[in-house]
Amino acid sequence: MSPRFPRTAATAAAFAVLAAGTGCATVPTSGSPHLVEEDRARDTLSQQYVRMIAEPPKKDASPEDVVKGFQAATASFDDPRLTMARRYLTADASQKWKPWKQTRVYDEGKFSGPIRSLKDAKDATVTLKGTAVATIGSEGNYTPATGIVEEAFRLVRGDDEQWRIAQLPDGRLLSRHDLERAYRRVDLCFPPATPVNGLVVDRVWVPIIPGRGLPETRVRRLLAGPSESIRGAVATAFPGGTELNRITVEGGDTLVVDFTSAVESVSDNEIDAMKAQLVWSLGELATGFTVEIRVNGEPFRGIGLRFKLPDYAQFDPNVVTAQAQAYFMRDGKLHRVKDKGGGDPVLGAASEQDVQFTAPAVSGDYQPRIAALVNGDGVYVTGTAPGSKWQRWIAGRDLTGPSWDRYGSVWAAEPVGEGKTRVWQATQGQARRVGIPPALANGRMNAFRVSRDGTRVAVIMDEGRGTTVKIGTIFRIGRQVRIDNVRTLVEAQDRQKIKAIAWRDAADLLVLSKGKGGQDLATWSVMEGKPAEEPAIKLDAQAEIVSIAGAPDHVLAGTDIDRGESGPGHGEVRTYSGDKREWTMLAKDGATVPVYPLG
Amino acid sequence: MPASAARSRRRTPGQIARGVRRRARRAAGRLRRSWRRSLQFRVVTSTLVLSMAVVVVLGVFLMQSITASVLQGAVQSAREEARANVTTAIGYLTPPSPDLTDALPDGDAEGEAGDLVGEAVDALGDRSGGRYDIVTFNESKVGQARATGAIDWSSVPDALRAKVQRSEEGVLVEQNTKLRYLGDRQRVSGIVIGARVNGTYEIYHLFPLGEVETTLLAVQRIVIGAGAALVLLLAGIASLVTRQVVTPVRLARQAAERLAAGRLEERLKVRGEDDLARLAASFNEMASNLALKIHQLEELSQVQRQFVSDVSHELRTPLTTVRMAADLLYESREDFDPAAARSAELMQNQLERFESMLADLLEISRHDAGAATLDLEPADMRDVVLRAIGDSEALAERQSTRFELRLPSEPCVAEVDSRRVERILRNLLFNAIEHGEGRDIVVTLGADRDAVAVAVRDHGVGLKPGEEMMVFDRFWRADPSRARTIGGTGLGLAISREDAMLHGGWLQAWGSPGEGSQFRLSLPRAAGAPLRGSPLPLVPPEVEMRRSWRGHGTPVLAPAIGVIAEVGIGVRETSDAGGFDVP
Repeated sequence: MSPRFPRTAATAAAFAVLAAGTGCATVPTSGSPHLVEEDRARDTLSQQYVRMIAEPPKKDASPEDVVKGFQAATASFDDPRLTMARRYLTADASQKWKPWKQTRVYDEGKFSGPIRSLKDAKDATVTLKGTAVATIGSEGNYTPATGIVEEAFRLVRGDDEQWRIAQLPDGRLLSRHDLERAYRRVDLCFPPATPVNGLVVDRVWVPIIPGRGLPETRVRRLLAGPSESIRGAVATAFPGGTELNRITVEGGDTLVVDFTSAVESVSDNEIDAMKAQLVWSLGELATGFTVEIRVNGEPFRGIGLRFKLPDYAQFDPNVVTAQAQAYFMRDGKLHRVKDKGGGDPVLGAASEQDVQFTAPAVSGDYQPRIAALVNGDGVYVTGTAPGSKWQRWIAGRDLTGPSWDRYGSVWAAEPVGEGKTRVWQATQGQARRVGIPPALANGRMNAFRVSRDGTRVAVIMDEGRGTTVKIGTIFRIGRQVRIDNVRTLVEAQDRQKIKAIAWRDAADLLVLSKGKGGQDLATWSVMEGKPAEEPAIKLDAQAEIVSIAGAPDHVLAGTDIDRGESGPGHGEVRTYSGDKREWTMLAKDGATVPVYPLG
Repeated sequence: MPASAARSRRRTPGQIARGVRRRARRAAGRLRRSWRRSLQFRVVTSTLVLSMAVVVVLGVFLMQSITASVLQGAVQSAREEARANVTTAIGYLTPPSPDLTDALPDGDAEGEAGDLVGEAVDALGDRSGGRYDIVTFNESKVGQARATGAIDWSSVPDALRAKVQRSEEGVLVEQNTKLRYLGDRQRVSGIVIGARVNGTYEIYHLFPLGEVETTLLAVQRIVIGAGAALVLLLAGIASLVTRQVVTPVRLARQAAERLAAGRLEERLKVRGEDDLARLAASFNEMASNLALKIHQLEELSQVQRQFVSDVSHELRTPLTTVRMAADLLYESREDFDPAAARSAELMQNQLERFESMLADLLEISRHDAGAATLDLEPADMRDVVLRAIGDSEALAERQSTRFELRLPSEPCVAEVDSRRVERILRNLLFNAIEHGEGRDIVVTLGADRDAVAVAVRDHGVGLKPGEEMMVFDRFWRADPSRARTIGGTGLGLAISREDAMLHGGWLQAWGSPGEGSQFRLSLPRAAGAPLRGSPLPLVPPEVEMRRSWRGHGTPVLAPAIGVIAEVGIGVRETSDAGGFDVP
């Protein structure tokens, strides 16, 4: 009956809560060992990057400092309208200045101000001198530049006794550091215009959107479409008008990509391409994550769309993986490289002694086909099944070595007359001429290589002024095939001869050249037009490389050890290890001409 | 119709406010009633309130200590990180060697310095791994400001910057603030730790404490939830416990109420042997004892009543014979000598009185036995009053008393047993004549919608205080020494009261020494209807008027004025004299 009891109970219970809150929550001192589940959410979405802070002009700054401050403010991407940078300009100059026209990159820049006294001066000129590195187009296409950059900034002193820039070069000038800080090189992936399960890489430089992070920057650029050099050769599976809302990480292993509702209008046969495009463009950011597409926060078409990068392995833009089967020639037969070294002859006509063939190329089929130059009168193709015979696909003399694309076509170039070239493409034994622009037609081709994704070609051209490497884009319209957008990757240099090229992966080309300093093997980034930023391949001075083959992370070289001495039994096929920076022997005793499928 | 419906639906704010206030008042009233009446409610409420207070105090204490320790941990690690970073930054920002700087062709080291700060921030950003952001400033060199990630560099408070610029090199300064980010990232509370290094470089570390905040919020939610659950649990327990106690008590109360209502057979169930069971047992014992006693008393009073009734009956037969003999003697009294004649007269008188007394005794014993029945019929009360007056006129003349009648002009019909009402009035009139000392007797008849009333006012000696109730006792006498001049039996008023009660009416007396007395009979107009009030005042209006001479006018007068013209004039005169006005 007494209300005392519940009150006592209340106090006791409250003390119990207190005791539980303080006493029991101690650190455990025992337990069984278990694996740590790491939260990788931060790694992907919050990769650190450093931004320039745009500061307003300082009071009574010297003309040099004003230009420097302006340059720093230009390099800041916080404000897409560059309002802070414009405060360094006079009103007139601010109106005329068009920062988005072009971005030029320089290195080792130095500002030189006026030497004379500025005490009563009304104007001054500050010059920026440096070496040109590159220009970045509005689409993010990187074009290397050479020479020097010398730009003058004319400053005037305004009514408030402050120096302001009155005249300046159009576009933006960024130092190499600024570029590295504010831009990232991304490999965007687009499905080719011809329907096929595959992707084509478009390597561009994109400014980081502050506050959005790298994944969002990538996906936004992806939605903007391919850059000009391959536009027409590739499509995008994202429906027009699709916009990205945001990218978030949920539960530590799901990357949620939220689009606007336009994404739901994708046609059913393009969904796979769209998903592949997304995961491959995210690339290493999506590794280990499940990617989920949402539409304004709702599941895609009400049922959700979840997938992983390995689900779309067949869309790999490199087409072949690092584990691709390699081949080589020995004793006039094509051999298949074994895991432990050495090799076995392949089955079929390519291992028969009676027909001599050179320059073999292996197709990307499950049951690979071999194309080679036989008899000096054309490109012949044979299967790797026992009893298969050589069939002539392309007729012609002095053809370049054949090259397969992933559509099952064999390509070869044929010299016609004096310094003219024709290009053939053969499918199922039917050869067809390929339309080429004068840049390719007027010259002699020493080598012709179609990239594995079938969208680009790399050729060694001899136009009489030395050898160059040129890159073109393949456009397929119906059954019409045309090569266009040709540009030079490796310029001709004095007394340097380019001996061989081989596609390494979707964006990189191996170039073997020989100059006065000896042989040089370099990897070139095809879309940037410059050597890839990786340690140069170290060559063995004793062994001359005669042929090369490339696959992702792999470089094979056929070497000739006994220089000058002819005859079999001297060649060796070697593989290069980038980590150890050394060559290891893969097959010897006259092994030569290493080949990877396609490329 | 729709218009009126709309009007009825659309209520003015005033109406709504009134409605709310009314409802709130009603709820408060209900609450107060529950508080007063329910022990359980009281116990549960006080448990709830007290335990809530205790839980709140403990929760606040708990929360404070948890917050302090969690926050301290986070801030401590932030400081350590900032300290390590500052050391690293000094290493990066110090130019490699002065010789080298001099060796630069034009001494323009700033291009390189830009590199240095970039490298330093890069290194620190790598170390942070996204857990916090770095912002650097340099007031004296252009283009040295950097920020990592998506932090909005204006998150660094100006006050902190000023403090850092003034402080010693390498000394950490911290401030709590709200961190803002570019893009659509949420603002988050955090701590900024800054230091000045290598001259004019300022390095700020912006640590978001969002996770700590989340943790603390979660803990807070848990504490609140647990506290609320605890309080509710305690209230539930209290309710359960009190119910165990209150239920038997409530049963006992209900039983007692029934007992009080006269159902003496009511008993409590006895369960167990605890205090409550013993209470029930003794309650039952009390009830049975009470029932026994009451039964005994009832029997006793039954016997007495029977005895009185029997005696009256038994006396009647011999009395008839005695009466016949006495009549004979009385008629031939002129033949007797004067003394014998006088005796015969006396005997005749006393016999008459004896007879009437016997009749009264029988009547009252009929009432006692509950055998009295009403013979109801609608009657005009004016006729009833006039008949009673007519019966009393002879006696009044003898006492040289005059009646003053105040009857309403229109008939006032009531459903009454007119024989009994007449008897009541007769009794009242005889009583008034007897005690009126020859002064006028005022008989007033009043009526309203539900009731009729007759007041009989005399101006005799009056009643002493406390005698108003005793007048209705049997055989009561105001002054035992006074002789009964008109030979009342002493039962008249008692019977009258029984009759009035039989009608569902009232019979009340008022009296004051020297002012006379007034008896008022109030009856409902319809038989069986409950009587709520009387159309006439019990206290005569002129007396009331005198009492409230100065002060408040009593509304009691108002009906009297309407009914009684003469008194109304009197009142008016008095009111004139008293100086207040009755409209």
